[in-house]
Formats: sequence, C-alpha cells, structure tokens
Amino acid sequence: MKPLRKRHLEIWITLAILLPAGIAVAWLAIPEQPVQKLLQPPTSTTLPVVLKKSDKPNYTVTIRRSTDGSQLQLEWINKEVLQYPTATIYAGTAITTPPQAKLIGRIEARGNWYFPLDSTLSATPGNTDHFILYDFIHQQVIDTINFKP
Amino acid sequence: MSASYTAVGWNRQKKHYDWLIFGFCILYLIIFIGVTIIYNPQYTFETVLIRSAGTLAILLLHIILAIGPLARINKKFLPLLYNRRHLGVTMFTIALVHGSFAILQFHALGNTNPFVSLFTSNTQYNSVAQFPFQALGFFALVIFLLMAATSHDFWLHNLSPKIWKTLHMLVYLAYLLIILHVMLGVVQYENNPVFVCMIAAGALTLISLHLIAGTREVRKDNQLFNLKEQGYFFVCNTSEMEESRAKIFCIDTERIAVYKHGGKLYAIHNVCKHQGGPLGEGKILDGCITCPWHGYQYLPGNGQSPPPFKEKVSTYDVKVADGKVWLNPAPYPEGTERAGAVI
Repeated sequence: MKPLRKRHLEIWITLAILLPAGIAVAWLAIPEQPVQKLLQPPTSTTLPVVLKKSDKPNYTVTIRRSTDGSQLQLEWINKEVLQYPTATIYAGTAITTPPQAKLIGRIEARGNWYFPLDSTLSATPGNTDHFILYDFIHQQVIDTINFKP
Repeated sequence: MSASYTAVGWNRQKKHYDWLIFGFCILYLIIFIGVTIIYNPQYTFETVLIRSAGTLAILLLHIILAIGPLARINKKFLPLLYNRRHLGVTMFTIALVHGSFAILQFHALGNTNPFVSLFTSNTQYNSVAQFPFQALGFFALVIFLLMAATSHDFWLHNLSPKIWKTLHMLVYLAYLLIILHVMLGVVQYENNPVFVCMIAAGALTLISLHLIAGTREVRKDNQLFNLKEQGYFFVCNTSEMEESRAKIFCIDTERIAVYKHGGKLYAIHNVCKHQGGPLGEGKILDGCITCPWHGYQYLPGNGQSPPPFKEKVSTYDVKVADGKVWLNPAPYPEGTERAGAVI
C-alpha cells in the first residue's frame, strides 16, 4: 500500500501546480467589463418621455428620455418569466451581432430593467434602432427588437 | 464492520452524524435562499436553487477532501473519516440537484436534447473567457455518480480494494474540473472578487494540508533502522510503548504496527484489508486491534478478524531484550499465530 500513499502525494504535487495555474489563467481572462457589472444600478428610475416602444408577447421595450432631453434610457419590462435565466442586451443602428454591437446591460428572467443609453446611440425619433437580446451562456441571439421610424 | 451487507450501515454515531449533515445543509440552503430573496428578488427560484446547491456542494467537497489529511495530522479528526462516505453521498446528491436544475434551465427548453445541447450550444473550446464550462461540471458529476454508486462495501469487495481505491481517487480529477467549472463559469460573469478569493483560499488550504500530511508520511517511511541482529531490527525501547496502542515502523518498504497488549508486544501488517486504513493508528478495543477508519478488527496474536469475519493480515516476530524492542520484517502468512514478546 506504500504506492497508494505515494500516489496521493504525487497527485497533490501535480494539483499544487495545476490548480493555481488554472485559477490564475481564468482570473486573468475575466473580461474588463464582466456582464454582472452591467446589471442596472439599484437607484434606476423611469425617465418621463417615451420616444419609442416595442410590445412583444413576453416583454415590452421602451426608449425613454428626460424632459430636458439630456438623458436617454432603455426600459425593459419582462411581462412573463423569460425562458433564459439571464441575458445581455446589445444595441446598434445597423444589423450587427455581439460582440461587435454595443453592450447595454444584463437582465434576469423576471423584473423591470433600466439602462442609461449613450446619446450617440442614435435614439432620436426618425432613426431605426436595433437591440439584440443575447444568451451569453450559449453564445446565441435570442431575439432582436427593431424600432421603426 | 458487518458479516453481511445492509443497505446503509447505520449505527448510533452515524445517525447523529447524518442528522448533523442534514441540519447543516438545510440551514445553509435556507440562509442562502433567504439572503438572495432579500437582496436579489429578481432572481428566479431555479437560479437561486442552482446557486445555493452549487455553492453548498463545493463547500462539502472541500470538507471531504480536507478530512483525510486532517486525520493523518491529528487523530481527533478520525471520527470524521469514519463517517466520510455519508458526507460524500450527500455532496453528490446536492451536486445532482445543481446539475439537474442547470440542465433543465439552460438546455431543456429548446427542441434539442438537453445533453446534446450541453455539448453543442457553445463550442468555444479555444477561448478561456467563453469556455463551455458546463461540460466540466458535467464530467465531474459523472465521477461523483460513479463514486456514490460504488460507495457501498459490496462494491469494495467485488471490485477489489485496488480498483475501488483507484476509482475513488478520481475525486481529485473531479475537484480540478469543479474548480475550473467555477473559474471559467460564474467567475467570468460576476464582478465580485470574493468568488476568486474563496476558491483560491479553498484550493490553497487543501494543497497545504495534503502536502503537509504527505511529506510527514514520507519522513516516517524514510526513517532508518541500522542496528540489526539475526534478521531483527532495533526499533525502539519498551518504555516508549503505550498500553493498547501501537508504534508504526517502516522496514523494507512495508509498514508494521507493533502493539502493546496485556504485557506483551505483537506485530502485524499495518494495512487494513478493508480500505487500506493504518491499523497502527487505531487502538485495542475488546481485545481486538481496531482500524481507526471504519472499525475493522483483528486479533493481535494472529492478525485474524474474530469469527464470523474472514479478514486476515500478516504477522511478524517481535522480541524484547534489555528493554529494547527488536522487530523481524519477514512476514508470516496472513493469519499466522505468534506468541508475542513478553515485556
């Protein structure tokens, strides 16, 4: 049985190299902007002016604006529990796919979500805005929302 | 120790231990789910269950892997070793809950077979940040399933201790897979350094414990016994021997346990026939050498388990002269009667 004890020690000497190496490599690979960070801040409030609205069976997506026009906001309301426990929203004015499109935020399967939109995102009336609901676990597009002029 | 197989080898101590495990798991799940509901009410129940079961399974896995070296470093941890199997099956059950709900939530809602979806929905095996981490968890769960399914003594006897032990040492591979499953999975999507710190601290603790315990064993095995007369090696003085306890000596690569019992010294092979437990780290109970791991017993004079049990280990000659203990490392066939050396 001495080989058994020796095998235990050899395995743990190997793990003493592999485990820290694996943890370090994975840690270094964490994206600069992890998707968890993109969850809305808890103080998010609804901006008053509705610019555009898209009503889908499971969710309603609205682009909102402040009264003075200085802020834009994406409102995402889950009417039903999504079949995807978590997903990210990308935005663009052209047909682009993640990760080329602009990352807006991350939503969970239920609840209301609010994300600030960049004023350069072309959210002004008259333009076509294109949002992508993306399953980052499976790396696939779940849905696209197009706001027609 | 039992002459026949029963589904679960419960006794009073194991029942207490199992209630303790059950209570701890329930308390952990209640606290985890409660805190999540308060601070993250938008999470679905499935998400909370996946996360709570996953973290609990990892915590239990760390405890399980720490028990072995802790018991070698300090005998006070031996009762945990005695009950480790039930803890292992509990950990597998909780990991199965985590895995089942994860497959249901992430893969069962489409029109592809969930297990096909598990391996085909994300094939970015060449990316670290987007690695299909769920596959790593799946393979670890398969190893835990094999271990839990063969955890009964029936399989130990039918597979042979060597194959059984080799199979169960796959837990180390499963541990590596689990660490990578977490590091390439949830850690890539969360922004909380606590996850990385906890995983690193757990791994560092286990590595340290196993290396400390392992190097201690190597030191024991490398102890040299130079004084030799007519095949006998001088190993220690009689004053160093404690009643009903043993000292272990490694001569010619084999460990021998020398026990003091009823004014005599007896020497038997140190390795228990059950799972290779260190017989010399046990004690004599009811006149029998009792393995500290699972309570298998052997008579000191002949190395045989008392009837109706059939386990046998080798015996050795030991003699006492001028307060010195001399040991002959040439083994007698398993179960051979030796008279013992009068002190």
